Amino acid sequence: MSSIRLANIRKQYGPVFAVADVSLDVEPGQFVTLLGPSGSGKTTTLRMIAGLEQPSSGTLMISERLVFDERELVRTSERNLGMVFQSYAVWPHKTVFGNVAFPLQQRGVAQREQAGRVQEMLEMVELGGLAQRYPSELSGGQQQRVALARAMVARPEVILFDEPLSNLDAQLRESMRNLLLSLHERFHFTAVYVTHDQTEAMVLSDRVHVMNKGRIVQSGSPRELYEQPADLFVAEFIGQANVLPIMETRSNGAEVLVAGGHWLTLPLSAARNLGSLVIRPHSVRLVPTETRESDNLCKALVLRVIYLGDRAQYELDLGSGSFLQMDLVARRNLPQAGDNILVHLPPEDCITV
Amino acid sequence: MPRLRLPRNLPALLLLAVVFALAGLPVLSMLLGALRSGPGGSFGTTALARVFLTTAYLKPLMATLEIAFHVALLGTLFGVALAWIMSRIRPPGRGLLEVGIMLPIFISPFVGAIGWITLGQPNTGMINVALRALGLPTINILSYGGAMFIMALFLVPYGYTLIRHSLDRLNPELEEAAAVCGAHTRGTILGVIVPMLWPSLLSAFVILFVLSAEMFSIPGLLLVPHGYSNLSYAIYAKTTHWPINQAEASAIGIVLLVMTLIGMAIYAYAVRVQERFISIGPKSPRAVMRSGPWSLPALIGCLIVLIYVIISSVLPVLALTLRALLPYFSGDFALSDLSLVNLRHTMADQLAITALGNSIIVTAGSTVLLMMIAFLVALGRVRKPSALSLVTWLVASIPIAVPGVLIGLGMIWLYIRTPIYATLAIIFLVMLARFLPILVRMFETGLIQVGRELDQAAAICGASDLTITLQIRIPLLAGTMRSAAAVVGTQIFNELTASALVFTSTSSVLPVVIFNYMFDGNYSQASALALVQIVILMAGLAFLWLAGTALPAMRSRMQTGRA
Ligand SMILES: Nc1ncnc2c1ncn2[C@@H]1O[C@H](COP(=O)(O)OP(=O)(O)OP(=O)(O)O)[C@@H](O)[C@H]1O
Ligand SMILES: [Mg+2]
Repeated sequence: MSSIRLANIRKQYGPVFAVADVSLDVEPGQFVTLLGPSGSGKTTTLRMIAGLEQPSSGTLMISERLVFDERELVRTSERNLGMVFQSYAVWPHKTVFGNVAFPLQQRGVAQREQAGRVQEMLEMVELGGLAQRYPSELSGGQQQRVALARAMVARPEVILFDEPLSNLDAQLRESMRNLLLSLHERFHFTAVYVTHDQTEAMVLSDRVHVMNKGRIVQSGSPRELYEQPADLFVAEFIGQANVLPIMETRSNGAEVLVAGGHWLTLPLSAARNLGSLVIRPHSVRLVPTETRESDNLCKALVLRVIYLGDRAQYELDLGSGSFLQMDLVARRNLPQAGDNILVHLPPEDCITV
Repeated sequence: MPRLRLPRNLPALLLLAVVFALAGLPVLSMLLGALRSGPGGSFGTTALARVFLTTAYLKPLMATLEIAFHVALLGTLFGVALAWIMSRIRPPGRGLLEVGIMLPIFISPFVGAIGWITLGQPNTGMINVALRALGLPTINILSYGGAMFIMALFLVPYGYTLIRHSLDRLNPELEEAAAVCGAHTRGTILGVIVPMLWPSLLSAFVILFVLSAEMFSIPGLLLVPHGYSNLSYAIYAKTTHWPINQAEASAIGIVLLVMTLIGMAIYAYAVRVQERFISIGPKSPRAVMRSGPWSLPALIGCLIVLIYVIISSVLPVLALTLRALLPYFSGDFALSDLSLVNLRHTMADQLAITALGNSIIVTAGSTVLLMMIAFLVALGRVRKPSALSLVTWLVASIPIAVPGVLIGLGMIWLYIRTPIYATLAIIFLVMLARFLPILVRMFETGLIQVGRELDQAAAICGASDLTITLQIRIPLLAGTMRSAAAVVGTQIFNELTASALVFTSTSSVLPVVIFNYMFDGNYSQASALALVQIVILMAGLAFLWLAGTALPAMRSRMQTGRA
């Protein structure tokens, strides 16, 4: 059973495909994010689920009900959704109470019941005392909480979010994330959350769908995406990555030659699609220069060191135009710019894509 | 399945049909009329041949161009002077001065002309009486120069608005940068301001040119007696004075239409160029002159604007009022002469009474109808983009390029042989056609500013389109609706150029009756009725203003009282 099902959804604007071919299943109660760079089609996908945009082709089901195919179109107002917009979109001429009560009015909830449910919802988003205020008398964070309350008050099965936190400052964003998580735990709605912020995606979601150029390029838990990126795009988009192009292989692909002239051993389990080798900066190890016995050792020249308080970021030259980033936990006696050092690239942390 | 899609399009198709009937058909029938011998008559090319193949209308054509050129030049000069003072010198009391500059729009050029005739007619003009008493040479407003002066004076606000808008958006730092680079005032004006401002000067010039080319009231009153007639007046004459020949009027109309179309094309070009020059700067520019609000330049600026307000509004309205209140007008008067005889006389005229009622009914009724239609057209254009809504929008925009006389002429062709023609409905139709484009534009801007997500959020909550319109769109557009009602209501109430062609005794409106009084030389009654028109308009605007400011203030006071 699935709460939302997209099958081969496309959206074409003139000659360009904003969404090229997206198929997606979201289970009830799941919190999924659509993560991708600007212009990758996240918003368009979300707006098609909401019915605010009509797909050019494909099939779309919400709560086991067909809402779009080539002969059927259920309007936005009939899809029984909640949605939180990046711009909040709270109505300036209605009070906080009026905004939050609106979905209940549309669903024909009795007046008396409305008041109770609105008040309960406002308490949950910590706006209990502000019911009679107008949006212009609220801060940005408070307005966004009004939008949250409005999206949830009627308890729709599916709630859509389009970068709801991107207009807030960093601190507020974190507290809103926590609020969102606790509301999800409480109501178990199905959430589709659009963002280009990977931290947000990782904190919030059970499952992340990475989008690029109108397609979903990989789906998985945050950890899977980080540890087993399907391609170079995902590797570079999720977290930081060193990418070393592979020049040659030997021992049946168990060892590879990368730019800079180093032969590196790969883990046994590595898939043998040998285009590039990826290693995360924090996986690169600094080892004493006299070390001999280990595989995957590279000589390197320290080009630049950036101190970030708790850690230091290194830019290393491996020779022959090949560079590497390394993150070290800050401590005394770290190498300086201009030092010649030896680094170790543990085989188990080498990923090939 | 097409069966499912059809009903969904039905409202949009209906809207297109209504808009086409209102705005498209009259223009189409006006054009077709040039090919006929008369309403219901046979097809032929006699009229076209006479207009395009003989020199019969060469003189009116040249006169139209000459008048329009002079008026546009004069009006643009006034406009740029006022705009520069208001935007850059920033004199004290700008809020009131701004209202003063806009007053001519509410008074209307034609009523202003009545005032100015009273001030400047050869012997008994009030200014002339004063000048003669001082032993100074007198003026004659009933002349070519006088007509240019009055037309320019009353069209200035249209040019002013355009130029002011550009000046406000042009970053004054560009001017300062030139000054810092060592340019003197003249160098700054020639080297920086003119090159950046010419597109808006051009667009102001073109708009004034088009507006004066389509005006027949002032040329008709002041110039026709001198044997000097423009195309617009020729069309009016061909449809209202014996021998009537609507086909020839249509053929002349084609010439006038081509002129305005060229004007509109130039205007569109100028606006596009202007957009390129707009730099992102402070929202409201600081004064360029580094001087306080009470410095000498600021005071001189204030004085210049005040002089404009006095000669364009204060003097003519004062003169008009006096003439309305004086039983016998000789240019001179004593306070004891003032009486209500003229007003009583006018109010005893059944035609004037009918017109008064009609004007109020038409203004209120067609403003409401227009708001509904324009709202739907704009809604389609902004919120539901499709080929159908685009076509509807385009058809609704047609009248923007069509002079009022031609709309009136189109109505004659369409309805003269139907029962509608003798009723007030014909005046309603005139107003709906003429003012649909302005109103669509205003709602479009309003809707764009409101932002579509506010609508969409309501749809997500389960609201139907009707609920969204009633609960979200209309409340958010309240400000736009009020200013739309003020602007369009004023235009409708003052409308003369199209109504003058189609009115009958049962469907006459105030401006037409005043115009006909003037034509018959009945200046006192014309003044009295014009005074009534101004007073009613001001009362209506005051009411809108109250509804816009006082009521919301009261409501919010009640709300805070409750809390
Ligand atoms: N109405 C439209 N007309 C034409 N192209 C459009 C339209 N809407 C979106 N696009 C294009 O479709 C692509 C996807 O847009 P979309 O808004 O879905 O991206 P996004 O992933 O949400 O990006 P962002 O992170 O910047 O919000 C973009 O290339 C965009 O230019
Ligand atoms: Mg987006």
